Amino acid sequence: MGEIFVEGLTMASIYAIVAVSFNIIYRPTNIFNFAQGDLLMVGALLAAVLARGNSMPWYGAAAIAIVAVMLLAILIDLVAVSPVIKRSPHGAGWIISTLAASIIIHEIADKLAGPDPRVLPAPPPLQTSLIDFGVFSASSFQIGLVCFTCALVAATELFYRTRPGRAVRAIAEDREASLLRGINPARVTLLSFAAGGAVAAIAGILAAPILFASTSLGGMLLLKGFLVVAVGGIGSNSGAIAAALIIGMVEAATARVLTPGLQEAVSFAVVLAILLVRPQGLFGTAMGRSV
Amino acid sequence: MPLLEIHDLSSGYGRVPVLDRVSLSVDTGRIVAVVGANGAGKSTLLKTISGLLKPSSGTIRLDGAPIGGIEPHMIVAMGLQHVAEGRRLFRSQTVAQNLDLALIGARLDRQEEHRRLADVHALFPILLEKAHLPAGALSGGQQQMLAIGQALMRSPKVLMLDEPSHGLAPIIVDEVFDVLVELRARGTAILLVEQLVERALDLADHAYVMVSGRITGNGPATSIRGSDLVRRAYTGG
Ligand SMILES: Nc1ncnc2c1ncn2[C@@H]1O[C@H](COP(=O)(O)OP(=O)(O)OP(=O)(O)O)[C@@H](O)[C@H]1O
Ligand SMILES: [Mg+2]
Repeated sequence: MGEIFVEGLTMASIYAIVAVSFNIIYRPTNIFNFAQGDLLMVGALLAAVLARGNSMPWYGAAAIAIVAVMLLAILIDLVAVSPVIKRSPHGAGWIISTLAASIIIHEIADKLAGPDPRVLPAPPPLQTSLIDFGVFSASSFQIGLVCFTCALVAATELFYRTRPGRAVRAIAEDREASLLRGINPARVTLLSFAAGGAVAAIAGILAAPILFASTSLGGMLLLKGFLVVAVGGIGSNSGAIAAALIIGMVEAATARVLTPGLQEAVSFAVVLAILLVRPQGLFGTAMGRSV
Repeated sequence: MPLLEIHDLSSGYGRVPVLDRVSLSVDTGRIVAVVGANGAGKSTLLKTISGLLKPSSGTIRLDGAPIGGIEPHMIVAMGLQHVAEGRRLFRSQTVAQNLDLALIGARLDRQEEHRRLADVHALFPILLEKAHLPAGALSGGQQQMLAIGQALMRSPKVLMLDEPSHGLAPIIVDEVFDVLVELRARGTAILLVEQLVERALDLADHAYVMVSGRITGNGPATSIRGSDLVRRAYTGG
């Protein structure tokens, strides 16, 4: 029981961070960035390469990886998103263009890094070795990860109460009205991509000590992040937490009680069941695109 | 020189033309009304001036500077405000937050921000009373006041209002119009689109009549009032 809980909570934290990175971009733009998984993968790989053999302090490597991914996310906005929205604000061209960005980044990373998984240790002083707490055992990294996830979600929600954060909400609610009030949507979109990119890189860097850094990390977590935002209600961070917990726990329980091979099948079945009852997700509103 | 000067302006939606070579101007401390039947293009005119629509030809000058085709937030920064039809507020945010949000990008110091807020509260005391309610919980009249209040947070040189009286009780319309009179006295140039033609012409200094995207006539509001132009604009005759 204890193991299921700890493993479920660990994976739920990573999925929740991925989902938050989607939501940060989705809220002002109504765009689901398909390259988000690749941003996360680049963050993990870059940090792993830089920190290899202690050639660089862990936090230095992580900081460089996060900044690099932020810049990459800004590039995606400038090249693949903003020009597309500008030409047709209501169109779905962003689906193709962010998918294209995803494929390009993935191919380049594959050429440069190769398919082999790389090791990235946990952020010091945290360790991935398990400590026995009696009822359950958990590593200091797992505990830190859960705390960090809570702090990240709280900080994100607090941001949405500040004036710039309320501008993001305003654009989501009524784009034209927010233009008339002097909000610059291009700037909000750019900053959202930067912030969403940074959080994606963090997700990759924190997933790597458990899942290894490799080019296949992106696709796997993109899918899980997508499931979480679909179940939680896209744009909703509270929904993301609830959904990440459900999916993380179902996976952990399946792996322990049945077999790890069935993880995906069972979690998809649960997701499908939830979406049949609530198509808009747990915390989603029934509204469609608002612009 | 007029604060807002429009010359031969044409625009529309995509390839559908609506405005056809519209010219008009608004001086400082003047209320100028644009009247015309449903679908005449009044809202299209305001949207083109505020940058929501790009002009296909013609010029728009704000205090002498050309603003045709530039981004709406830049036009806001240059001192123009457009209160759109339908009271477009941020309903999930409080009255106070709606007013505060209007200051984004204004780069004012704290003191000036407080001064602007106090000024809006002086014009619309109800916005202070309801400061902590979500905008969506206000009555129609209060929402209109909040929408105008948001615009006033930027101390605009030019204020454009699209049907501010729509759906309001007559006594509330009086209150809103009184504020427009006060703003005129302060030197604001006001461009007013109204369904209540009689009331708009009572209030305005000058008026333009619009039919199918064209200006068919203009003159001092008092002379427009009794003229055939208005009747024809609404009967299509
Ligand atoms: N979003 C739009 N897309 C295409 N055509 C539009 C759009 N909005 C308005 N129109 C058309 O433009 C013309 C002018 O509309 P506009 O809203 O400017 O008129 P109006 O004078 O403001 O009318 P009302 O008094 O009903 O508000 C109309 O023929 C209308 O059908
Ligand atoms: Mg209109």
